[in-house]
Amino acid sequence: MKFQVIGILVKNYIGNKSQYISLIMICLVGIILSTFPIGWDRTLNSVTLFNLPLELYGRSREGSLLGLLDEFFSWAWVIIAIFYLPSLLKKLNESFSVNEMLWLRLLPCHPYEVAIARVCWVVGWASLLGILGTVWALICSSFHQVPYRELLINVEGLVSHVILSGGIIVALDFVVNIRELEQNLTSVIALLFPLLLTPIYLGINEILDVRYMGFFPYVIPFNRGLQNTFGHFATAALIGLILLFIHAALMFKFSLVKVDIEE
Amino acid sequence: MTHIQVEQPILELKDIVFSYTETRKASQNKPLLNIEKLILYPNDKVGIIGDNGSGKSTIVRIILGLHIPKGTVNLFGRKVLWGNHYSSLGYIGDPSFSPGYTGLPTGISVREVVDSFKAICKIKKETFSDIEEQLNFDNFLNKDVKNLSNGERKKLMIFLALAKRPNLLIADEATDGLDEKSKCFVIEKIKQISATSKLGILWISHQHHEVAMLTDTVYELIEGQLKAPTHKRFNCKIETYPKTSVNGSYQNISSKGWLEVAAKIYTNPVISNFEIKGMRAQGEDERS
Repeated sequence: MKFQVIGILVKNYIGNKSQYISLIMICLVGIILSTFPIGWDRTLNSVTLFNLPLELYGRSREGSLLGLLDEFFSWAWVIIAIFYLPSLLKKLNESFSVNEMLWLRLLPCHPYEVAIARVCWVVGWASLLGILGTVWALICSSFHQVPYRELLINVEGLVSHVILSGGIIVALDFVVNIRELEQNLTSVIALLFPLLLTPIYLGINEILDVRYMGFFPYVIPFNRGLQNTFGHFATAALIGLILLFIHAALMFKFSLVKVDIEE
Repeated sequence: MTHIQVEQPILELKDIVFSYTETRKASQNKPLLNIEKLILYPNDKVGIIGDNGSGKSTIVRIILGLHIPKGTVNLFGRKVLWGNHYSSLGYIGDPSFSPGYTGLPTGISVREVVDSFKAICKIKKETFSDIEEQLNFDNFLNKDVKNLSNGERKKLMIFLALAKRPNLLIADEATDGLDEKSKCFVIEKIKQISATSKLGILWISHQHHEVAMLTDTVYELIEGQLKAPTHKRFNCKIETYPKTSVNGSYQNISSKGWLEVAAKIYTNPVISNFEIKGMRAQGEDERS
């Protein structure tokens, strides 16, 4: 395995760096909005935003602050899911197309190196969001003196969303004959499927008392009312990672055909 | 890595039957391609000519693994699979698998493609600068690949195919969209590589004189079948004064190819005189 080749391919997949800069900007704006404008009014027993009391979030300081911060992060999650994640998924989809694959197939790189580069790309994307989210959570936690663990659950959810969606794309994209319309459709399915698993889980959980439902995979923002989201999000990420791993492993069955012509 | 001896084929198509559509009644199925045998050994130069829609590009797509026909398709002694990578294969053409699909990446600049290519192939940055220079890469290095014109895209493909010194070059209307100077350079470059290596060539083109210049066996694709051309051919060397792009040695040049060359000479205002050396074969040199 040539790590240099994988590095070159990942660099090409990453492409335009402006979207990563704008993600960092979103994180910075999020940090600013989640710290200085938010406060606690002792007299009203209410959380405040720009000194406006928000009594909707309850009377407990910790609970209401966590509720508001959770909502802030959920909105950031929604923005990322609408404006950034589809482009990642579409590009991931396109990486299987004839355009992207034909020239790579004629280079001295192994098929599994291309697959590993794709996996690194998705995991790298998720890691970037995870790092930015963790920085946000730690800053908010220390600024407002609230436990960071609850804030990190949402970060875990966003990371899981990216990994599971990426895993779905690579699992679905084994067909060569995939056209632009099908690619867009696959991207939408991969984007929404992890979210749509939430009502499915809630429905099954309501009707049946099934064991191990704590490991049912789903991800969803605005999840304050849901129980044990950590387990569900972790399962979603694990399934995504398994799908990505299978994709890379399957590529080992193909080879790089090189010839050395002898007289 | 596969070691191939000179007597082992680098490309094998046997008993190929392929059709894009299939009707329910087998008797109504008239395949687009029905190729009994097409085998290339190292150093073989084979040309394929044929009318539009005769299936020339489909042959290339089959070799690239984009279509799976009935029969045997082997590249470098191994069955062709879309999942396999073939670093010894050079390809110039337009796979046209879907509209807008060109076989080159999008959302990336030509410079990035060339740099990645050189890094993966371990080619020094300045190597093959003659190809880049002669094909005027400077004019489109910073363009996104998706915004390239047909000619620029072909130039990039030519660079990617030739710079890695392939063992087999598959060219499908490779010079389409190129200016005369670039066409001439590409043909000379391929001749030069052929002279110093055992490069196998499968040259598919409408340009009969190109096929005649680069190949020594020519097939015509008629109704999906590869046939030796029926028309009489020339073996000749045409020298023009002053020397321009139509100079060269032509083998197996068909009467149609001869007309193409003649038209180029007569319509070129720079050429004041020309001389043809060689002979016109009377069919006895035709390959079966």
